[in-house]
Amino acid sequence: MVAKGDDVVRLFMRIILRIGEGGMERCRTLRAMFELLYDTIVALVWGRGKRRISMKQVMNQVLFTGVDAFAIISIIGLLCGVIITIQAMTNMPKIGAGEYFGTIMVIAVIRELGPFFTSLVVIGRSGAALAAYIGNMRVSKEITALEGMGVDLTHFIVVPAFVGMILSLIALNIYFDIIAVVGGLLISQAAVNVPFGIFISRVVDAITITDIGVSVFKNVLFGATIAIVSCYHGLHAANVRMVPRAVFRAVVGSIIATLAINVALTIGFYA
Amino acid sequence: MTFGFGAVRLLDNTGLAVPEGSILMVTGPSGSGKSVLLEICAGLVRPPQGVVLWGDTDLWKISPVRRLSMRRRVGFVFQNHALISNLTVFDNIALPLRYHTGLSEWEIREKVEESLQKLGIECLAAKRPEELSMEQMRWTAVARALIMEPELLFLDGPTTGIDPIAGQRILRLILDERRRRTMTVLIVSHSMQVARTMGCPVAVLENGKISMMDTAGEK
Repeated sequence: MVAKGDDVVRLFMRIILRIGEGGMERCRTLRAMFELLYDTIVALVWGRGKRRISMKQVMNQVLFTGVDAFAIISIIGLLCGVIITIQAMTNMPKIGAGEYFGTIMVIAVIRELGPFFTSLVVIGRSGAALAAYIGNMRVSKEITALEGMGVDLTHFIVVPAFVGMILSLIALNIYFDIIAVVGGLLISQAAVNVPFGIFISRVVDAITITDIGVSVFKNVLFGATIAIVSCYHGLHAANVRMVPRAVFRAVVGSIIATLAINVALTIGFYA
Repeated sequence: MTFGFGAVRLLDNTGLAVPEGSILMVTGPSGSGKSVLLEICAGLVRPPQGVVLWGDTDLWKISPVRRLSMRRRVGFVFQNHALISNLTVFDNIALPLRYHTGLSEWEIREKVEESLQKLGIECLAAKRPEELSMEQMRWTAVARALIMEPELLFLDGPTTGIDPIAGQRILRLILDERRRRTMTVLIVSHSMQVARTMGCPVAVLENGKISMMDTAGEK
């Protein structure tokens, strides 16, 4: 009986130890990501003299992350606008709040869904691709070659991704918001028969500068987070087997971080 | 220096000295750790034990920033070329110049075009690495390694996987370059023909130990 009790204690201690090790590992990863973020901001703001940020690299990132994602953002934005408008216009009058569908549109799309859906699309497309690309660069020794040439990896790889991701996310989110409102407008005309002027005026009346500011601020933070998390995991893919794992970690890490930031900002600005 | 993966010791408390301005070739069986040795000497891999000295400077005792700037003195040709895949041949060769020098874009263009012409690969300037043959990639890698006129040149299998004539041309180009200025060259290769062409001593890496081979090819 005593031996059995000892085994349970030992097992319990092992579980605690494993959890502790896992927690410590995550703390180390988080710290390393913050260090990478710090280095990136330093390289961006105080980019040393000759080491100009490659605008070509930034534009490539914007092209891939932003321009190429317009089609999927159009579909998601349109459907989102349609769903929210139908739900708002069919259910809100039942509780006597039919007047407020413009506010709901702004709260749902511009404050929350716009930044979040846009970041999800960017995480799935560009964050994953970025982690895989950098991971493959590591495996094919391109990263080693850059280090060998004395090229600062943060400056050469992370900064263009960082800038490109933020710019793309802001542009995509504005586009998402517009498309979602257009989707809502179309369905309100077709199905619920709300006049064009009323729909637009209610949405415009409901928007505040804070909404737009917070939305852009969220995009900046989301873009920065996705770039840093994806670059970090890509840079730490030690071999071919680690590349898919890096992609998976980049996607999951970015989603969790984005959600956490979203919650914090929503509490900070609106609670 | 000592280096290994898990229980396998590739370098077992062994050392290598290359006098300034000289050429040395390291050979040995596949998997003996030659490429790792080259990367350690180039400061790309940190050995868990031992020191890497460039002149009097211990490479791993200086700040990362200084180490980064010291690497501008180095040219490295990887066996798999390691060309940056999203850059053209021109941009690959221009990268160290853009990064380390204050040259204008026009001056960089002039310098890179001169290098491309010298190597006879000017027609490749706009191509990306995936469009190149093995030999073309090797020429590009050599051009990139030499563009900064390095004091230290590391060549990992410079003739591996390309036809012998092209291999000889690459080696002669490096010899010509070395005649123009002081350059220390460390080569890793399986081919004794490389040592003969370069007229250099050969070190053998086997079982984690380095031993010098005499000119007759005896250890």
